[in-house]
Amino acid sequence: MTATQWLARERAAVARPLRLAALFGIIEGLLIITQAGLIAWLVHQVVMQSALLSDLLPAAILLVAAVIARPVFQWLKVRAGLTASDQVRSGIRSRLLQRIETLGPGGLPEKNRGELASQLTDQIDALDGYFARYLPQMVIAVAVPIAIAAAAFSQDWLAAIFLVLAAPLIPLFMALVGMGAERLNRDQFTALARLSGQFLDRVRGMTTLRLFGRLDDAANGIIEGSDEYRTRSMRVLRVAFLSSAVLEFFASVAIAVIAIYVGFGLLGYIDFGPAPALTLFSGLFVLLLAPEFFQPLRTLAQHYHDRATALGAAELLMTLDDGEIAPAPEPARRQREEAERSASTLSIKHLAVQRPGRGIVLQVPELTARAGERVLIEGPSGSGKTSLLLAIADLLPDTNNAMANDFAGGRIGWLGSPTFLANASIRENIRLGAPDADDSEITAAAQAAGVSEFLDRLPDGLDTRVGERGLSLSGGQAQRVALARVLIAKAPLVILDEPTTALDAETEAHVLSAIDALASAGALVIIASHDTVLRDHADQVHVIRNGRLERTRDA
Amino acid sequence: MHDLKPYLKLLRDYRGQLGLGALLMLVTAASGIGLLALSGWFITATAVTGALLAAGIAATLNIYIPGGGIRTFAVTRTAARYFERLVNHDTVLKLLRDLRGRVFRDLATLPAAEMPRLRSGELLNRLTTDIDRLDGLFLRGLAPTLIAGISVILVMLLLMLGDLRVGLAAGAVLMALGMIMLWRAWHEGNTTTLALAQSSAELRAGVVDHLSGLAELKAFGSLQQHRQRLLCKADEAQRIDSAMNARIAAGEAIMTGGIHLMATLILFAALTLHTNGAIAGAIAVMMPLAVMALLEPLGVLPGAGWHMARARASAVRLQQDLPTKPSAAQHPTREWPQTGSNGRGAEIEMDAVSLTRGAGARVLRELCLKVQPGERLGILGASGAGKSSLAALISGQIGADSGMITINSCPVDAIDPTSMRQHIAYLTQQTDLFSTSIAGNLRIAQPNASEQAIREALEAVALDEFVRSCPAGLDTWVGESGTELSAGQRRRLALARLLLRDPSIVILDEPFSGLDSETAEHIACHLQAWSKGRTMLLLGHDREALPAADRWLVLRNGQLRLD
Repeated sequence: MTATQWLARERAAVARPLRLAALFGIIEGLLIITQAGLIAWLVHQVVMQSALLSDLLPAAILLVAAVIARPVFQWLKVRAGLTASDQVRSGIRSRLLQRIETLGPGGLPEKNRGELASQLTDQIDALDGYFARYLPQMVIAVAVPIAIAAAAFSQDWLAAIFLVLAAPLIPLFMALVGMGAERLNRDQFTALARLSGQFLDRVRGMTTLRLFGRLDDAANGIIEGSDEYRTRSMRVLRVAFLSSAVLEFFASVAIAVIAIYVGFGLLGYIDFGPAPALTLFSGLFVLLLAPEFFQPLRTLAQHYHDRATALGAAELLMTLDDGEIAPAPEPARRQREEAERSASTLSIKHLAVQRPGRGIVLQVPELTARAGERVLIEGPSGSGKTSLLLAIADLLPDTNNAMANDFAGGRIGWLGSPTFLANASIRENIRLGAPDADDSEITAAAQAAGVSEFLDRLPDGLDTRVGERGLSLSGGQAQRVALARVLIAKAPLVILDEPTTALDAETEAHVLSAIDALASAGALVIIASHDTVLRDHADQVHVIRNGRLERTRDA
Repeated sequence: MHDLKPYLKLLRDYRGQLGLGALLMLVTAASGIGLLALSGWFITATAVTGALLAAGIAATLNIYIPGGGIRTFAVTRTAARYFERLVNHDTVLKLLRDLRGRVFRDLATLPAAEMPRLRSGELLNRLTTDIDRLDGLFLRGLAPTLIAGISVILVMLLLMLGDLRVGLAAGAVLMALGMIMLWRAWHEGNTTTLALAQSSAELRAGVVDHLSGLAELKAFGSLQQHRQRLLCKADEAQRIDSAMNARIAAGEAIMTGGIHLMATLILFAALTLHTNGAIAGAIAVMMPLAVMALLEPLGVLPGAGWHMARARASAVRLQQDLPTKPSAAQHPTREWPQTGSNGRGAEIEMDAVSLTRGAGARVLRELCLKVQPGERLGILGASGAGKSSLAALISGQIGADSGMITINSCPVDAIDPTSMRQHIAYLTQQTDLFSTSIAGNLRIAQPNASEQAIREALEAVALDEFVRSCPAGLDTWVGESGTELSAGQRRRLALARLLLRDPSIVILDEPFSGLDSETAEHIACHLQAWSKGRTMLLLGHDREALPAADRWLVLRNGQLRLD
């Protein structure tokens, strides 16, 4: 599927508001014709026929009515366009979210979160202009000029021909310019993204740059990068502006040609065609219509970059959206019964752990574990420990059926590395472990994980907001919050990824005692770590060597 | 408006180019008005003359001057618009470039204590969008407003050709209409941009949470709930955005209606004046047409108000995030104090050093420390005990509240920072990689490092094999923030960077975090050789996770004790 087809599919979903927007735009165009006609008629009556304005009251009232109605429809048109854009954007957003969810944490290869987050926010918003303005204007830019040409034709066919002759050149020219502009626009998009990225990581790494004495170089690099962007942008803009300059040129020249033609005709200098029949009414009417004939096309040209922007965004969004509607959201993980819990086993035989884009990362000949056991998986960094955890948690797509997992589908206590804290209060962060937990359960979990020990130093206690948009917790404090989340989940399967890395002794003690407590409460605890302290808290120890998981000992 | 002052000052550097841009804008607007007004005048005049000629009455009309005028206006309008756009966009992009550079330099003067706050992604995002938005200030805000004002005066003068009072009245009404619409947009913009910025920041944070917490959310079965909340945030952000767009559209519609209503009233007045014999028919037609041509320069005013409000909001935020004045502290000038003949290492002494952070939390209290030249000192402590603060103090990143820190008996705050940087190598707890190649990341430490030196450094951190396995070798791009590497690989790259330098003092803050013990041992071995003779501070919470040291101290309650 191409980006154009993808956009066409999205367009179909909002056909109704788009049609409404176009309809209001066309009504606006008809009102403009009415207005021009009434002005010309009134002028003709008063100036040429010496009529009194007071005798022409009905026409004057009609003119005022048209003038008032015109902006009303102008506004309605914009509103309908906005509705279309709103609907499309929220539709795409929730669909892509579901898509990302089905791909799962292991299924998003080579994409960093920042880029994905920007796709779900900026890139989706980049579709706005295309749906809100460009698409309705496409229809208006065809219908309104035709109506105006017809009105002009009824007065003076020669003048109408001046307009109509210029018209076909416009789309032709726009298409020619547009083809080049599209590619340039896309390059521009990438250039801007790279530029922002460059700026961001220079700011982020400022301490390091300072320590190496490279701040000035970095500042110059940023200025140079921005200047390069300017040169590139100007290249794009020169082309884009040329296309609208051509339109303006046609519009201006058409007004000039018609004014001169009408003037000479009225003076009687032209005696062929309809010219001798020209009156001030018909002449002025056509003159007033001339700029309006080109206006919808000029507006379309102004919005043309919306199309290019949307195509650029669509191409990025498409990579995420394979076109199929994601399967129904998985059912909420259920809480298992106590009895069921104790009898559960996890048994893996000849599992090849695969990561999209990376192929097979780990072979697991055998791994069997029962509820209440603590399993430690050791191995050097990058050896596939996390991938194995994802596979066990059923978070990798296409795990072959080498796994008999009684825990699948149940709630899983997950402590990832790096520690995940949402931009929410500590309370909300703990509650993520058990969405239906009440306040007393949260307090108890906070107590057990050692969160309570630092709560009184926080401004709002449990309700203190943490994460990027709130207070930043130290590594140990964050780990305790995440641990409380695991504890409150009361999950039959608990997975801990590097739970003791870079922790202070007290937090480490909390983590270790939680591991033991969880296991003795009947949960299967699986830990990936290269911290040897954990060996004393494991019933089984496995080691990854040369891409294979090997069992080393039982406790 | 005074929030925008620093940026208005920035505009001053481009006075010439901005003036040219504004002039071209004016030529465009004036040509538009002239074209329509003159055309209307011309055909009415010809109609009247034609009628007289047809009736056999002798009449003349100079058709060459107005005809030429019409053609000239048609061409100047197009040409002026084209060049106006080129000139103005070029100016704006130059401003943007300067602004980025300036913001970065301003950020660089921030005290080191502010740095963690800077790392937050949201602040950074805000910075970039705010900088981008300031470009709307001139191009979409100030210049169109100025041109609209002048256009109204031009039209008023044209109207006054017909009738003084009508001209003045219409001019006053149009000016008032323009100002009201501008003010309304500016006012609404000031309230809405805030809400919009808030809601889109919430949305972005929610999306980032959803993505980075996907494993957690899925495992705990909280995914649906979180998605629901996220979609609510998205709806809210979109609702505010749409409301804003609808308001701008309403402003534009009112402007269109107002101008056309004004033109209609002028038409009625002009026709009445004509009937009374006060003005010629051609003038009577020229008058409303001139008003109608104002739609182009005035129609953008509601948008201009919004753009100015947005630029102001951005300026306010930038000022909040940036220091108002770079600290005018005295620039220390002393050269690095050389040691005697006993090797490269330097002596560090801390005497009764206290440091308070944040809301009165005492990080270090009366801390005393003496490190011999060439000594390897390990300092252990829980996270948050103040190890990083200690390192920042010694490396001169932050200043102590009281007490004395000296290197080779010279106070740290008297040493020239450039000289200081050459002699202290400090590996921060946080790994900072930049989006450039592996070699580029290493050359941050030593711009003219040879390929041989780079390869040796990579071998020392056991990354040589990895680099060889990459098709692009040393030129392998380390993606945005180096995310294509694992945490351990990133750490090792940061360590390799250090090995390219030749410092007297080495500070390693948790050098081996995220590394398995085998790799850590390999690196420790190379570090041992490299650091011979240098004074070394090793910070961490565990002896095992650090290279060997001559002496171990524990940092607890802001003081150092023997382990």
